[in-house]
Amino acid sequence: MRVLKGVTSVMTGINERIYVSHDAFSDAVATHHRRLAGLAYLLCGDKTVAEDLVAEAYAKVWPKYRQQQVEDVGPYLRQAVVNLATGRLRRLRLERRETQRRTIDWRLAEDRDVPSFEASVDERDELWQAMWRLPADQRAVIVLRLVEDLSEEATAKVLGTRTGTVKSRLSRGLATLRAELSTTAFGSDMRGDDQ
Amino acid sequence: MNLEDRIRSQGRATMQSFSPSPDLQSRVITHTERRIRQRRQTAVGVIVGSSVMLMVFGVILVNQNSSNDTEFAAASDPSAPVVIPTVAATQMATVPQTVPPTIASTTVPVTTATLLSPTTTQPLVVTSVVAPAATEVPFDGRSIAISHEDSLAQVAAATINELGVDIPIGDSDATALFPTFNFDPTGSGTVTVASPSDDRVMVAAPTGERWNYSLPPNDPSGRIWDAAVGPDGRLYVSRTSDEASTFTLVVHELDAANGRATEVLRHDTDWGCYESFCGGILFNASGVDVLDTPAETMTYADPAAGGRLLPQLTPDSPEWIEDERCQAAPDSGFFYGTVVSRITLNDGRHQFSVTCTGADAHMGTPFSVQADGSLIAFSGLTGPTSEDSPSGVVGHFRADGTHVSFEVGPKIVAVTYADGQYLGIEYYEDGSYGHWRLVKLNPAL
Repeated sequence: MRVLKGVTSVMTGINERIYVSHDAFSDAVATHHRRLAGLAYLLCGDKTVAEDLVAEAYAKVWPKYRQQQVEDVGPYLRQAVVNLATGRLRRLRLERRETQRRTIDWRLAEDRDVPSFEASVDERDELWQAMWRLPADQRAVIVLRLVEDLSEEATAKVLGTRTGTVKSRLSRGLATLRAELSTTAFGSDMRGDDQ
Repeated sequence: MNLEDRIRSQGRATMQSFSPSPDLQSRVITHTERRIRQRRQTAVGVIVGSSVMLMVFGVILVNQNSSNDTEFAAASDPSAPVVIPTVAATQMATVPQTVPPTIASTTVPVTTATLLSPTTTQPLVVTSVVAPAATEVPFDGRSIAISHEDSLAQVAAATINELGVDIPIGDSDATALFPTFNFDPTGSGTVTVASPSDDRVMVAAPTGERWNYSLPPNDPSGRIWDAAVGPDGRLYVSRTSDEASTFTLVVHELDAANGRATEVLRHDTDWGCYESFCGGILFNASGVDVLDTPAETMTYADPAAGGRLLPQLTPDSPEWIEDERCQAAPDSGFFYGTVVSRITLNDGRHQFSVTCTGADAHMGTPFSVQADGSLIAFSGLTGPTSEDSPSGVVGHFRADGTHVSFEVGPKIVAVTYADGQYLGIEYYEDGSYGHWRLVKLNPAL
């Protein structure tokens, strides 16, 4: 009986599936963890929490991956990170920490090809502080569409929603950012650029 | 440079320059291995725990006057994931029992039931509290019409009567108020809402009564993470600081007349955990659990999608669920084990399809497993005339294979379910981050 076999396999650790190797998982970690941590950081604004999210994302995806049911693990991991970052309970915890955060660990680019933000750290701080005050779902849409450069359809798939919802969340999120930044020097500069 | 370009360029640069901790790779591997072990252990633990809970409260209902003993739990079960050690349980038992919360300090009948632990066969004593019927909070007159558009069973239109328990969650941590991790941990229908910023706790009973308590401020163990009133009438609070991953369980005697909670016991966890489900409070036959593993997984297969509803919705391991359900599911686009139903709108009717998704509720359609084995799932509903989610759908999937669904108010973001009549709904309102409301379903449901 299949149900009983399933239970037995859980309790004894015996499984008939062919798993991918542990080394393959290590490779997946080495390949993707840095970018995922960066994405998680944009979504939550806390380095420690971002790394926790990445670890949990791997833990969620790994069972599927080891059973060779995932061809390209990267998008799965990204989806897991986004879902974890926008989860309700997680969000509460992130917001608690957000209020406690006094400084932001803005790291300068190690790669010379990457533009340094040292000169514009105040501006960036202001922009992303406003970003992290947005509702998590709006923030996720903005990051996926603009930073990850996903299409509306791909963003909707990651978030499990419709493309129309992606559009409206993006529009509302950007409108909120514009409103929040409108009274600042950055906002004035932004308006000037837009005109 | 316009706003979109600035977000794009700064975000990409931040991602490229982000330097993870040097040990992150090893932490990921260690964490994954630990979670796999936890899932396997939890699969067995949850089945046992659920059975215990059902037995405990089932017996209480039919045997309310069999004992005057007021001990909460003296038995210890080495196989259960109980965090409180024996010494703590003893301390709890020696604390004089005080009258459970009442508004007017009237005498509250306390009934108990004695039974044997199904896992240890030791005598087990659990106190049940019958709350007074006075001081009921009246309905506030607002109601939401709900209609059943179930594709399997047509049910007459019903009404949600909303209780006057409307709580702003707030848009910042300073005003955060949130329902507890487990909506109804004792199975009594009594729910708790806590404010971590000012140490307030509100307890709402199924009768409509509610009590507000102020906990001692500036607790050295950090702010409230979860809170629940136990079957002994005491308030159990888990606390954690923003810097630490460990939790402290603080037990309070409640003085409803004065709105005060007096600490009687404090216990620090000896493990650390940063994950979202950590620190939740659960009650079981042998004491109190402070969670360091996911609370529950469940399985459900929609008959309309070609699946078969299990005779009883039994929490089980993700591996088993995946074997039995997800491979045959028509829409298995997500990662891992748990089968929940996805609710979509199709020609004005709610259609349910099987989806394989994560083991945690927030990975897919939020759901909660009820004491009777049924399942409550919630999903936002996208209507044909609006691009955003104008309302939500709650589906109640019963163990007998039937289910009902109904729409609830605007902009609902989360629903937890109590005892068949009560829902806790988190919802958005214009200009605010969110509110939480306790609503009562029409008994016709």
